[in-house]
Amino acid sequence: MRKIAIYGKGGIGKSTTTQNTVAGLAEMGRKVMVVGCDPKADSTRLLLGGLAQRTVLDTLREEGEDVDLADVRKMGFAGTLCTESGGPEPGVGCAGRGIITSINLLEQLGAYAESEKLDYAFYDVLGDVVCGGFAMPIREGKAQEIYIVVSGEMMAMYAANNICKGIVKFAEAGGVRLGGLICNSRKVDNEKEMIGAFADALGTQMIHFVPRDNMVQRAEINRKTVIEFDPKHSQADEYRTLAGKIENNKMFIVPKPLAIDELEKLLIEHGIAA
Amino acid sequence: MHTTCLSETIGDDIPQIINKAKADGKIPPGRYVIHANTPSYVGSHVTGFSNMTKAMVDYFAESNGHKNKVINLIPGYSEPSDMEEIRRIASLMGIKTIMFPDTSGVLNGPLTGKFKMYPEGGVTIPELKQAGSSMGTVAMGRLASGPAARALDAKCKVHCEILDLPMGLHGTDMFVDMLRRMAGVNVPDSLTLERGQMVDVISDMHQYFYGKKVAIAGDPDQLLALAKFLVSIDMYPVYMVSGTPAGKKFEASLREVVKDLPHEVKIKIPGDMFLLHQWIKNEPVDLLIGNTYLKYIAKDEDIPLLRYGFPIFDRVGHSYFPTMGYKGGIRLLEKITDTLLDRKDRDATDINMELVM
Amino acid sequence: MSVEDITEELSPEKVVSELIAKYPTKVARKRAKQIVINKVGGDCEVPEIQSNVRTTPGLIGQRGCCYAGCKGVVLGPTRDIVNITHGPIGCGFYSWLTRRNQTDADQSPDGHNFMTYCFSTDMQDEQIIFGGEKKLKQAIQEAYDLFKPKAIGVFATCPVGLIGDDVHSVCREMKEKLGINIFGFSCEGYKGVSQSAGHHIANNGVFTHVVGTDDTVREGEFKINLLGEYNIGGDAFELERIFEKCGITLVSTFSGNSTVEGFANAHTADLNIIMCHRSINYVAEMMEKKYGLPWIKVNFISAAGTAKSLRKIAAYFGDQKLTDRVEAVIAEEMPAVEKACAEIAPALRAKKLCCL
Repeated sequence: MRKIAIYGKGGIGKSTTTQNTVAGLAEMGRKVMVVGCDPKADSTRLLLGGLAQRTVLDTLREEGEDVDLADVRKMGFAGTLCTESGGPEPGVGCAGRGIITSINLLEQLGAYAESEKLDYAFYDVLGDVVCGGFAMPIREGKAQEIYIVVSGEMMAMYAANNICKGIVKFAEAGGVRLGGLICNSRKVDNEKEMIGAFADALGTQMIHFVPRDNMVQRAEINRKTVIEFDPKHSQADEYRTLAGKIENNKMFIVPKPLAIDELEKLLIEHGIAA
Repeated sequence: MHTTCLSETIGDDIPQIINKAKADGKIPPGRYVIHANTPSYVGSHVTGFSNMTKAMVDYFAESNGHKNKVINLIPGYSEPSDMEEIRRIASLMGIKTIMFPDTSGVLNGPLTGKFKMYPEGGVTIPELKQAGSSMGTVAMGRLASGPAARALDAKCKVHCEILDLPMGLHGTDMFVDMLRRMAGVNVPDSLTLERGQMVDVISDMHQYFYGKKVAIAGDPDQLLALAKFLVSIDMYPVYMVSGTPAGKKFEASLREVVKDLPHEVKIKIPGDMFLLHQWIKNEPVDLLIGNTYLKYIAKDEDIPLLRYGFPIFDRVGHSYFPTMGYKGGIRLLEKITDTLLDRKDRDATDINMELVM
Repeated sequence: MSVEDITEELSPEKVVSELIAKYPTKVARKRAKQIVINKVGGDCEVPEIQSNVRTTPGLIGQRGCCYAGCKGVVLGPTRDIVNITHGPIGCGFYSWLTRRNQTDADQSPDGHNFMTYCFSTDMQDEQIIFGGEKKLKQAIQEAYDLFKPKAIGVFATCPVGLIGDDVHSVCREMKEKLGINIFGFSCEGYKGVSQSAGHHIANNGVFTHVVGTDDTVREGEFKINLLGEYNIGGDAFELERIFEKCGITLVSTFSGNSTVEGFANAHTADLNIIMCHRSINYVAEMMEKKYGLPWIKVNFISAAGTAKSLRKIAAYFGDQKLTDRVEAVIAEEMPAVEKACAEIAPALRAKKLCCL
């Protein structure tokens, strides 16, 4: 089983990209589990067709110790298995601890057991790596591959660079590696080249450039991935391509994060000022 | 290494830190760092104990491919004296053992005037490694020892049997019988003799035990074993609380023990001593059994207290004299009768004071 | 080092250098400032020992945390405040009756003594994740319903600080609701270098929320507050006995054998005397600033120290009657002390000792 964590700046389209990619893998006949690691619990909405998923933490709260895997895991599009960690309302408690608790519980319940015959487990993690809890998915024995969703916008690249710093820390002692950047286009000038150059600088690859298309929005309003909503659309093929590239990816590296002035220079050379 | 609320909440990844320290050469070869996750807000002290016992297995145990003629003993959250007694019983039966954790010779070590950083007693790292090649494991106490025993079974295929703590006649019988079957040995006469002595004490003193109401506060493994023992000598454990969340199955097995008592039984898990005190105020008992904190209730309500369990701050005997096994059982019976009869003497009038009793 | 080695002539200098030699250079430099030799007699100055600094990683520092200083040391010995630890059970459990503070509840008309109880919100994983304010409110309500105390103190622990529960707003809300004095302390364990940060937080809290809330002036010619005496093993009882004998009126003690009423009324005294300066000087300074109440340092450790301190108090008041009475008390008390000293002194003569 390959365990993959998807990181990226808040609002960059991580959940959408993850679910569409997972849909692509599922279509290829892979058995995939998605673990949403965001207190908003919206990482599996498109796969589940908007079905309200009871989160792991809510279930734990209500049921106490007697939790079954079936209570916290629902079947979504094309046999994908969907779970949501859940977490507190904004401004209270500790969402990071919530992720730690819920991943531990999933392990205890055997969600990752060999008998589940999973090909992939995807972790869709909230925003930036804000505290130790949000790094839970990339700890030793958890996700070995990370993909960062990024766009040509400056803050998204800053965030990606920061995430790389986090990866370095965990990669030094554990096995986690960066598999590449996924560029979720915001139609910024010269975006593809810039992210390509950014990836080169980090020592990784831009594994795929996902063009911006309103079809994604339309599918989302209908609570579906593009692959389910309009399988023949060109955007669906983009996600299938991304899924295929991840399936065949052989490039796993420890990134070399950029110093701030290097990052700014890159932006000036390729982006805004170019 | 133990984690705290603080490190758990900020999400420190201990294996990562250990691995990095190893990679950086900060942990010299032949030295080990093991860890358990022990935030105060998950479970209780029993959870932490259990997690670290399991960590001993996770970090050390390895299988050498065949089964040595050795039995692993996981004695649970017991006193060093009990650990010694458990090992003594096994050695009387001619069985080689590896016991972990083992606080005997550590927490009850001698004062010699010579400082030793690492006391004589305790389990060693080579033993912990070899535990993965033993022919079987007998774990005592489901909560404290169960996870370690199962982890060893899963990791090194060392078959495990999880028993209650070997307390009382029946509890010790179960332990001895398990050892006998697992090792394929006979029970020696010396052990049968100890058993007989215990039966004798129970029969002799039965009139003092019969129908006495007892309130117990303690850790789940102890509570269950003690309740079974008390019921077996016709005492009535009518109130029982444990601060440790132990699950519905545990509570069900505890209720099973007392289901035939001719008296209402109140159990609350997790429950606290404040609640126990309220129950006692409504209807008193003859004897309190639990840790040192119970002495405030004992004093308030003028009820005799038998110190048992953890922590005992104000008496010394528990480190040196066991309450497990047949010998330990005799001592427990002695302590119960002492406590009850001291009270009887104290309360006796000039008229009903008796020499022989 | 074995006993035989110690019994040989071993100079303190040698002991210190051997201890220091074991540390890595950088640590040794820091550690050297924390092990000093006190030269007794002669014109030797008592050397300064380094303290109140952050523990050097790699050294085992024997010290408490901020919570320990606040809840354990300063507020813990007050018998009629319900002190609730807001946190997981460990912090509350390990500070439950472990400091040997005695108290005499018979001295209060209501007989309130909550020190034998352990009040904790017993936070679980669930409260860490989803926040613990609701459970804290519930705990305060429960404590109020069961005990009807005059005051409730709430103490924040490490995880409470991390997840951001606002103990102060909960206390304000519950104070409003229940109509008794309820106050919180942000004494998360990780604050400061030792328990001393907790002392400060406790002092500020008690001063802000309690001191000066009762203006009743009590009878008595020489009224004092005893600060920094925690009645460990009943020490304060002995001091109370001596003060009474001397005709000195004790308005309040911070905080051995203390009550919330004593704190409330403390500003009506004439003088603050301070035992443990480290833990309580802040209250003395705040009282001096706000109420013009002067303070002096005293030390009741040893009979000689006690006599010296009593004389210091008498000198402050400058009253001949008090001075005479103090001298009479000292004269009366000393023979028993001298007798006991004479018995034990030969066994102790010329022994070197090490203080930690």
